[in-house]
Amino acid sequence: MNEDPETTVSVLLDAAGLHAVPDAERQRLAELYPALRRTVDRFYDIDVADGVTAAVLRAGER
Amino acid sequence: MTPPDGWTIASAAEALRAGETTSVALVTDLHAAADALDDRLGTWLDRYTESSLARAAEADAELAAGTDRGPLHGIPLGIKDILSTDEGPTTAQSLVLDPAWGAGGDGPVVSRLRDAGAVLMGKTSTMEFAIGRPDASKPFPIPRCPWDPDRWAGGSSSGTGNGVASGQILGGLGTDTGGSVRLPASYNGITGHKPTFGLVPKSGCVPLGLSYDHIGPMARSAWDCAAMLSVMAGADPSDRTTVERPATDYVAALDRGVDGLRIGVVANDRVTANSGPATLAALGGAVDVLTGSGAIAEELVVPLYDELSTAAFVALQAEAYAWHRPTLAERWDDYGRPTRLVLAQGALINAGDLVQIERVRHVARAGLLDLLDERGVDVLVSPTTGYGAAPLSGAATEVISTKALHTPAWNTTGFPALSVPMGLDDDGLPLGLQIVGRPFADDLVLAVGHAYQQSTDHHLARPPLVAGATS
Repeated sequence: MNEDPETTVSVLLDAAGLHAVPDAERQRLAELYPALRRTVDRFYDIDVADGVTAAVLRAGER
Repeated sequence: MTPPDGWTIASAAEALRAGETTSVALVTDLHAAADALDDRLGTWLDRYTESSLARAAEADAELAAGTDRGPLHGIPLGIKDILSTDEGPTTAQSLVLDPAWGAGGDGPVVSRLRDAGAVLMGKTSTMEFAIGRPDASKPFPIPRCPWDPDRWAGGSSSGTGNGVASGQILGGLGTDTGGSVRLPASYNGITGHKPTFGLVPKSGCVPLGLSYDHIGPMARSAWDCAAMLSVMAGADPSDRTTVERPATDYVAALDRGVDGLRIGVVANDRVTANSGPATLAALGGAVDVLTGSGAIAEELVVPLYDELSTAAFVALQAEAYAWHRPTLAERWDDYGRPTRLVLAQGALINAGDLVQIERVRHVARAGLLDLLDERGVDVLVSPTTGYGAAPLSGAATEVISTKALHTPAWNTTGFPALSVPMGLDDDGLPLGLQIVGRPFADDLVLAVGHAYQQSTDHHLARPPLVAGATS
């Protein structure tokens, strides 16, 4: 992933089909992005057991 | 005749049965209050004037004939406008939501309140899709705090919050994904309860964060919230996250008291460093009240509290984005700017990120339950918010920081959390005490709130603006 937040954000928005986002708001999202990324990255520092899955699937449940 | 400190659900229910008022009189008076206050407070998106008077007349006739549906019979309530009702379309305070959404009418919670005899007064204001910020660029009201109309009513259950505080309704429904029942409860000086996740069905509610959303009661007291929750709770097949539980009369469970109860005072830096001096002083006073009634208090540092708090904000963006992506791509400009910027951030995190947040969520929740067991702690308390109601413009950074919201960790865990008024700050603005319990200990949480309100009268304080308008 490119280190430049503006480029990264534009790539992700376009990949999501959000082509209508104007430049000023792409810029605002690029300003917000580094803090968002840092917040998310901190979750990878937490020790979680291998058995912890994101969702619990119970076979037989509708 | 309205009592000097205004109606509560409890006092109105008693007066209805004593023949001291009628539901029609209550509804008529509250509509008059709404006529006087709505322009100043931005409480309503739609008022059900005719149908509420008709329903009130039916309630009066039923009560006169000896048919008593319980404490909500004939009681006027407001419904946050992200919940569907039979009366008409839901807007979610947005230009985007398809008017056909919710065409099926009442969701289960609204239906249960209606069956209990409640009178629906209309749809209350929110923030667009229960997210974002007050947005003057769109044709919807800006909800204001009745304690100071230059300040925000809090959100996103804004209109239910300021409507209860200003005497336009006796209670109502809010929804809470990161604090949206408890924040406006705190800002407006009322009581609001976020139930345990899975206790109250969410179908009929426009989703925000699918695994963080809760529907909760908002009213003036823990008693009033207990009366509403007794009707609202219970599994429903339309919401597969609900859990089958024995029916509970939350009002009957209120009087257990706090003698011998162990209270953990949340001592994490995130709380203490992001709360003003007046808030921390009020919290100390509230703990003194509880210990004076026999509770035992100790400080407790919640493990992974920062992660529990930030998980709600980040994951709800992803969950909300998943719901909004088709319309966000097609109708970007129709969303308010604050809303679309929040939703678009959901496109900036990836699938692995969300999985990791969910894994930490499970570990943190389990770790906290283990700690509560180990320390024998029954409930946790903290301020609901770090500060009183934020100014609509020019607010200090620390006041509007998400770190000053001490609510979202309990959406991540799904634990029940109640906010009750605990006094005023130096500007005369209400402050909230948050009481948190183990899963499905909603009865205990409400009982602690009730015990506190038996020893204090903060929940009966009324905004000066309202006292002047309605006396």
